[in-house]
Amino acid sequence: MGKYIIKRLLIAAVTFFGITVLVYVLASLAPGSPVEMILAGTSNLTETDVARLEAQLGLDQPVYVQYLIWLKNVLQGNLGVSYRTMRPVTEMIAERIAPTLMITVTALVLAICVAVLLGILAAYRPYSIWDYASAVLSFVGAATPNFFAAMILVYFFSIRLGILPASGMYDAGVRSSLPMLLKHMLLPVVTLMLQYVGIYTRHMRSSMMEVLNDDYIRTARAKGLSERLVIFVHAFRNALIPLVTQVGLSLPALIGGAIITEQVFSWPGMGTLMVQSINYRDYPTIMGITVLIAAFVLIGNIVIDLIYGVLDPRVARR
Amino acid sequence: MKQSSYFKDVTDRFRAHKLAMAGMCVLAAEILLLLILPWILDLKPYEIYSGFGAAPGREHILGTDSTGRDLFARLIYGGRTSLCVGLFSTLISFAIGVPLGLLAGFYRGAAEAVIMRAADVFLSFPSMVFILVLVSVIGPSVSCATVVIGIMGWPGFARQLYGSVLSVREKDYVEAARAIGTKNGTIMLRYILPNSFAPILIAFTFGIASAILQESGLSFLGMGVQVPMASWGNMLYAAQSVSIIATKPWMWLPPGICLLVTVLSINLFGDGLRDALDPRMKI
Repeated sequence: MGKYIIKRLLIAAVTFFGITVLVYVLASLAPGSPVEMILAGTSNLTETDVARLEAQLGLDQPVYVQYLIWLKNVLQGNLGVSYRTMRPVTEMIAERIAPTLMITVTALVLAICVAVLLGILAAYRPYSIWDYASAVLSFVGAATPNFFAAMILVYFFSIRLGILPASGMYDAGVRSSLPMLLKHMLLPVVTLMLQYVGIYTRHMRSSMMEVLNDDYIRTARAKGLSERLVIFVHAFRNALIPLVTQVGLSLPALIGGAIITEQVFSWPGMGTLMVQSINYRDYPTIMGITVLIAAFVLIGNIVIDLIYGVLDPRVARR
Repeated sequence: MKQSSYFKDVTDRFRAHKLAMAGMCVLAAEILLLLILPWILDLKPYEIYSGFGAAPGREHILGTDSTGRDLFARLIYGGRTSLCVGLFSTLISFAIGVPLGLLAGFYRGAAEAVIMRAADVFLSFPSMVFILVLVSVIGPSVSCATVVIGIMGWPGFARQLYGSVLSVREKDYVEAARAIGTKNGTIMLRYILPNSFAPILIAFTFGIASAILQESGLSFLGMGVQVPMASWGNMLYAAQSVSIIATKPWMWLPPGICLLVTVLSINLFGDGLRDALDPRMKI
C-alpha cells in the first residue's frame, strides 16, 4: 500500500509541474505586458519609471528564470499581486475557496448518495419505475447544459414559487445565519448534481446487477443471510468500485460546471473570480486560480486512488 | 460478401434501437431545417427592429431580444453556429487524437509512455479552465472557441484508438502483413486504422455532443461566440438576468430547449451506434 501511494504522489507531482509550465507559457504569450497593465491610466511616465518597474517585477530576466521565481513563490504560497485590485492573489483566492468547496463537495456527496440508493433500487427491480426514472434522469441530465437547468430552477423556485433565492450567498442587510446559507446553497447544489446523478446511477445499477450474479452472492443467500445483509454488506462494497472510478473521471468536469453554475447564481466562489479576472486580463489571478484548481483535482484523484485501494485490496498489491 | 453482411447486422441492430432511431430522425430533421430555412425564409438575424424584447407575435414569431433582433432568425443562425463549432472542433480533436493514439498503440515503448501520460494530464485537468485561460490569451471569438475546444478534446480520441489498436495489432492478419515485409506505415493505415473504425466513429459522435455543450458553456460565460453573431449559448448569455427569466421566457426557453434536444439526440444516436457496432461495449 505504501509503495502504491508513493507512486501515485510522484505521478501527481509530475503532473502538477507540467501544468505550472503550461500555465506559465500561456500567460507569457498573452498580449500586453504586466507593466502596461499595472501602469494603465497613469500619465507622465518616463522610461526610467518603466524600467524600474520591470526590474522590480523581474521582467528583465530570461523567461525560464522568471518561471522559476514564479514557481518558487507559488510553492511558498505567494501567487503575486492582482493587476485589477492590487491585492495579493493568495488573499483574494483564500476568500473564495470555502464557497466553492461548499457547493461542489455537497453536490458530489449528495449525488453519490442518491445514485447509490437509486442504483441499488434499479438493479434490484429492473424495469420498474425506479429503473426507468434513473435512465431518463441520466440521459436528460447529461444533455442539459447546467446554466439552462439553473435558469429553469430559478424560474420555478425563485420566481414562480418564490421560496428560494436566485443569487448570492446571503441576503443583503440581514444578519447571516446557517439556515439562510443553506437556502442559498440549495439551487446551485441541485444544478451541479443534476449532471451527475443520472450517470452515477447508471454505473451503480450496472455494477450492482453484475455483482448480484456472482457466486459469492449466491453463497451468501444459500447460507440463509437476510436479503438486506446480502445487498448492503456483500454486494455493496464490490459494486462501489466502478462508481468510484466514474466519480474520479468526472471531477474535472465538476469544476468546469462549478465555474458556470457560480456565474448563474452570482455565487462568490473561485469560478466567478476566474471569470472576472479573465474579463480584466488579470493574469496573476488567472494563473493562481488555475494552479490551485490543478492542485485540488490532483489531491481529489489521490483520494479516489486511496478509496480504490481500500475497496479493492488487489489494486494496492499490484 | 462478408462485409455487406456485417453492415446489414449493424443497421439491423441500430434499427431495433427505438430511441436511437428517434434521435437520428430528430437530428436529421433539425439539420435539414437549419440548412434550408435561411434559404426559403427571409431571415435577418442581425437586423435591429424597433421593439426591444417584444413578445412573440405576427411579425416576429419568437419575439425579439433586448436589442430588438428577431429571435427566430437568431435561433436558426445560432443553431448553425453551435453545430458548426461542434463539428469542426471535433474534427480538430480527431486530427490530433487519432494519429497520436495510433502511434502510441502501434509502437508502444517511449511513444506510448509520453502520449498516454500526456492524455492523462489533459483528462485529469478541467478542460473548461484551460479553455478559459487560452481564451483570455487569444481573445474570444468563434474561431478561437472552435480551435481551443478542438485542441482540448484530443485525449478522448487518442484513448479510444489506443485501446483498439492494442488489440488489433495482435491479430493474425497484422502478423501476416509483417511477415511479407509490409512497412509499418502501410500496416497502420491499411490494416489497423480500418479495423478500429467502430470506436473512432463512436468517439466522434459523443465528441460532437460534448463540444456543443462546451461551446454553449463558453458562450454563456461571454467567452465564446460574440454578438452580433448568434449561438444558442450566447442567446442564453444575453437572457440570464432574473428579470428576463421571470418575464420574457421566449428569450431563453427556445435556445435552451434546442440545445437540450440536440445533445440528447446525438447521445441517443451514439448509444444506439455503440450497441449496434459493438454489442459488448454496452454499459
